[in-house]
Amino acid sequence: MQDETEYRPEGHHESQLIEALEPDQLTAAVSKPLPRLQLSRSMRIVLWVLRVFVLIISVLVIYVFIESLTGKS
Amino acid sequence: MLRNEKGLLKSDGQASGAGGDLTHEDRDRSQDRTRVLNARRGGRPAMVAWLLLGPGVLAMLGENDGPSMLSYAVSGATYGIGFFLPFIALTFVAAYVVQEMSMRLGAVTHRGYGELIFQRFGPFWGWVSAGDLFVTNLITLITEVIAIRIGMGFFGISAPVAVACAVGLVVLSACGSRYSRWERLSMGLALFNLVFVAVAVFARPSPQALGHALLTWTPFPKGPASEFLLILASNIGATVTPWMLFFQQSASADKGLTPRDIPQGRLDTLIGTVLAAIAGCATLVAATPLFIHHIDMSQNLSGTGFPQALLPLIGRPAAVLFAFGLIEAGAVAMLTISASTAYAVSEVAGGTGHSFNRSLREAPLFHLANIGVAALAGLIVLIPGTPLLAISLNANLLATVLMPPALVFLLILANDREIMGSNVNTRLTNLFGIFITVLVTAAGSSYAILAFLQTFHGKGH
Repeated sequence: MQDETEYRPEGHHESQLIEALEPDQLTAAVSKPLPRLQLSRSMRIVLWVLRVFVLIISVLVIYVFIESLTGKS
Repeated sequence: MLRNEKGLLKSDGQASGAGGDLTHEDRDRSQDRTRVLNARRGGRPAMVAWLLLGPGVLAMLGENDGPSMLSYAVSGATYGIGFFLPFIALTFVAAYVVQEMSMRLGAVTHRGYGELIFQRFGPFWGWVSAGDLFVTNLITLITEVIAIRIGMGFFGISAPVAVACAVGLVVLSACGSRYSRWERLSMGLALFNLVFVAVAVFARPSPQALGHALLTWTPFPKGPASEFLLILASNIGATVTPWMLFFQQSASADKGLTPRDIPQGRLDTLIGTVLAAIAGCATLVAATPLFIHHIDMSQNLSGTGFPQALLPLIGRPAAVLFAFGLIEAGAVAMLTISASTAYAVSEVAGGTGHSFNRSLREAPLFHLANIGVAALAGLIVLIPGTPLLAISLNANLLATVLMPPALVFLLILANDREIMGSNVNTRLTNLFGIFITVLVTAAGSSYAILAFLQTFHGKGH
């Protein structure tokens, strides 16, 4: 947990520049990762369907791509 | 909730340099923001809009790249304006809906799209997205270099010089380590996308036919359904693509957009959409004389292709403009697509900085990815015997893998109240977003399955 003062310390020698940015916009704030999204059961199912979709489509696309590269070169 | 009582985004872990010195990136962004704040305080809305113009215009005009313009030209040459003029205009409406979400995510979270996917959905999706985007962008960049080579070839410039110019532009744009300089240089180039409007005027389209096509979507294309579907999917792929999502969100964050700038961000995206739609539709109209004179362009996409074929029909000035337009379209896309690769790779890798406001020493991976992917594309084009036509024709096919997950993540993130607060999607935006996701997934999957079946059966015979 941090608050605004962590990124906008009072009396900072570059306070004018800091004031032009939002506290959560400073590099120091953005460099902190956000936590993982807590997914609902339905959302987890959607992501698994997407994994299967990506796998199947990848196989098709890679096959077509390699065939067209080797066939027309 | 990840937002405090002031609506500011909170996060996990330890920050580097919290409460300490500002980085070079912060200082540059702060100077840009000071101009915006001064213009806002001085009651100059036009100046605020001008200062915040950029990511939306660049994403949209960047997508009007070499392959996209060739795709619109193929549609015009194969089917005329009848169905495809309103269809292309409609695809840009879809592009506006998704790009607005991506701008809003960047303005509210101050983080790039790759970064958000990695942090919110985990390393698997983070690396899959960045990996697929890298491959797709590399293939697309190869087609941009080809477009530049075709355009310069029309003026008698050799392939190595054309490739050197294309890669040199990316290197030049990154010099100075300043986002605003990179953005304004790219925008200056992007405006030349409108030369396609001049080419369309040379094609002397009938205003009645244009009005009739826009209102009635007729005459409807005739011919084999598979060819029509392929061109339909390639037009969708020419307007709504994964790199645009990565680019606009990351560029909005890099520019320093805040939730207060969302109205100007929408205006920026709208201006980009309108300009890109005009240029895209103009390219379709410009190629229509080939349809009227029954000239088959399907086997004439390499070499000097369209400009040469149009020369006897619309005259040398128009053909010269078309070639010039191809160079410009390729050049702007080189800048924006290389940038989107750099943002995605460095965001997912984490910790090394991902901003044009950082120098090569401060963000080595970002600059290496930006220049490296462009240089690699240029080198591949120069390798003798490389199947360039096969690569060009499959550029949109590769994007079909990433587009559905990219759109689903966009919708989930834009509805994530923990990071978006009150700036989550409205019900209407969600309705449009879901419709577009289903449409793009269906078109992309049909395109991939159709291409697979054609290749598989072709091999069997």
